[in-house]
Amino acid sequence: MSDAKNMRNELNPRLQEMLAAYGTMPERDPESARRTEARFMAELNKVFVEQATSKPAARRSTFLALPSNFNRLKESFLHATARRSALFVITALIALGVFLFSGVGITAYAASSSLPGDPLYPLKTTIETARADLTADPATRARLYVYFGGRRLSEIQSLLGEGRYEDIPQAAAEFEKDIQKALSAIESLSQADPTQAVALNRQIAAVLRSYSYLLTHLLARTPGDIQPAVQSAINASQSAANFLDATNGNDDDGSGTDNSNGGTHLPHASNTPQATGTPGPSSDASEAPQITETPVPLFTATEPPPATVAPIPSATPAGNGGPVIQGGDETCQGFLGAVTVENLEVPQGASCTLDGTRVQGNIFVRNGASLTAQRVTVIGNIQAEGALLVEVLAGSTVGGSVQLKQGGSARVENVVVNGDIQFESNNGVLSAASNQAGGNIQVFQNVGGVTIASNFVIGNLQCKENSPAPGGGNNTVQGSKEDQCAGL
Amino acid sequence: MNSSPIIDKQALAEIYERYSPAIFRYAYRLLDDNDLAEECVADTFYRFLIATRGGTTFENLRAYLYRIAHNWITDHYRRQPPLNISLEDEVHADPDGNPSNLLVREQDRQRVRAALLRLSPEQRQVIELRYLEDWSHYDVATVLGKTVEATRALQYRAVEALRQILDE
Repeated sequence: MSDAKNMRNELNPRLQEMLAAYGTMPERDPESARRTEARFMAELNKVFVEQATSKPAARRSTFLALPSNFNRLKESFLHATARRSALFVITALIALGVFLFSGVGITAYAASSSLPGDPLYPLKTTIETARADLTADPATRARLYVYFGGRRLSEIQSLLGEGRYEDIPQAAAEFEKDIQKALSAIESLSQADPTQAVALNRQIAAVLRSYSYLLTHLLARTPGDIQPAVQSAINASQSAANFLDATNGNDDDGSGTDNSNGGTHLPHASNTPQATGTPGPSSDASEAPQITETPVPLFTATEPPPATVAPIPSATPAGNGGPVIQGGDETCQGFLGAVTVENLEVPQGASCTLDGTRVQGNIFVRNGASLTAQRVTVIGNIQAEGALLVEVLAGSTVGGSVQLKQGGSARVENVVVNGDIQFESNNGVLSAASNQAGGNIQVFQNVGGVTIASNFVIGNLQCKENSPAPGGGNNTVQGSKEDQCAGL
Repeated sequence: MNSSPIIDKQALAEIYERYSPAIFRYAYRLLDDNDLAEECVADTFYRFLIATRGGTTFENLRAYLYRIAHNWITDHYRRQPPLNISLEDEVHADPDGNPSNLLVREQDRQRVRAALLRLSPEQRQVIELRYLEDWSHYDVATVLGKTVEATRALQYRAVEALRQILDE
């Protein structure tokens, strides 16, 4: 029973009755409501003006009173797209990630590219807050706030690119607020639906660890006097991820068992422990980021975390129990643990198991090869053609797409994928379950049976010409469920 | 991926769509006039637009909108004090409904409204938000700019005052 209803029961019955009568009102006159809305839209059109950018397909909108700001934003956008550094590829994960945890209408905010310190920035955050307020479902609200946190990271990246260092602390502080709000939403969810909260905790923890990782990159480019703000954001993200894992009781087996207390106790950003091994305020901004003691559970206790994210020459080829490779393009035959590589290839006929591996580029699985990957972070795509088996499992994050064609069996389960999940012309058993896809899930012309269940899809769920038709259900799709998947 | 650019004004329109019905209800109850309530809604969202353009940040947009609507209603009655509605005024029932039930309900409605208008604006608001809108103490406190404890105390006094007026 709600707090207010409790209070209402304390009123004497007669007063309750009278208040109920007072609360009863005739239906709003539709014509009057339409006129009022028309007035609002007219005012809206007065203060907004649409302007075409240099790209005919892209139109932006800004306030009439702020044309210089519009130009500034446009220049910023062009400047950003011109940069093609390796770091930009990494930060593209965030840029793509703006779609990851969104809900209906979130693309409305993609047009708002203002940064902290810009006149339009308050509008951006206002719209975000309102969007979250619109959402009654705490799980969606949590996803939204995590998504907003990703936008803050994009803002920090842009501010760094423009040399607007003084505005970075605001973005970092907003990031921490977003993460706190996400945790609050998760707390609500844990009380209403503990089972769902466990699954969501795991997904969000994976994203927050990615955020920590990316922030650590950005930290190295940040001037010393600004670094404490970014460091604080890293700490908040790590602390939140660790907290969510602890809340789940480090339940990595997917059993869905919950913590015994049935509730979530939130860490507070101001109380988060300082991560060790990170540069202090006086560190040289040109130094490579230090994440040697990143306390995130992407890595098993027996495996060392990645020593660096910068590419350095490969020390040894991949092999069983040899988690010492650092950087470079690698082939995998056997086991590869918590190391960082550029691109990774599973050669023809080979079998590769990844656990906690970071791949800066893409994973390619060749003809007749097998890949089982869990808790991996892939900045680019996972692509397989003619593979015998591909399994991408819990705790994994893929910045691009998972594209599996003309192969055998595949499982993509409990994975955060910024792009698409595509199964095409495979002849084995396929499963896509409990994933979060920033793009589409596309399942075409497969003949071994497909299960598509409990996914959260920002784009569309599209299935054509599969035999038998895909089974499953309980998918939340922001776009449309099409053809053979219309009922899933 | 949907790449169609949708501009911010659509987001603002979404905000209007979401909040305007509740603001209308709030206004209508206190104003008891459809046109005035619509005017209140229009003005509330106009002020929101202007504030947004001016760079105002809203930590709690819902609270902000109710506060604007509340101020609008308070200003309205300041300019044009309500007619001295007697709590015993006879109210005519809707001839199409059940005459006795409707008559009692309409009388109750008008009596509560008249009583609320005799409360202070803050007392009136806390009754509205707590008992008619089912808001939490925290949310009401946000609108009023008070602590939760102060809001609880205000609510207690408001209920007592309302009882006394209705018992007169």
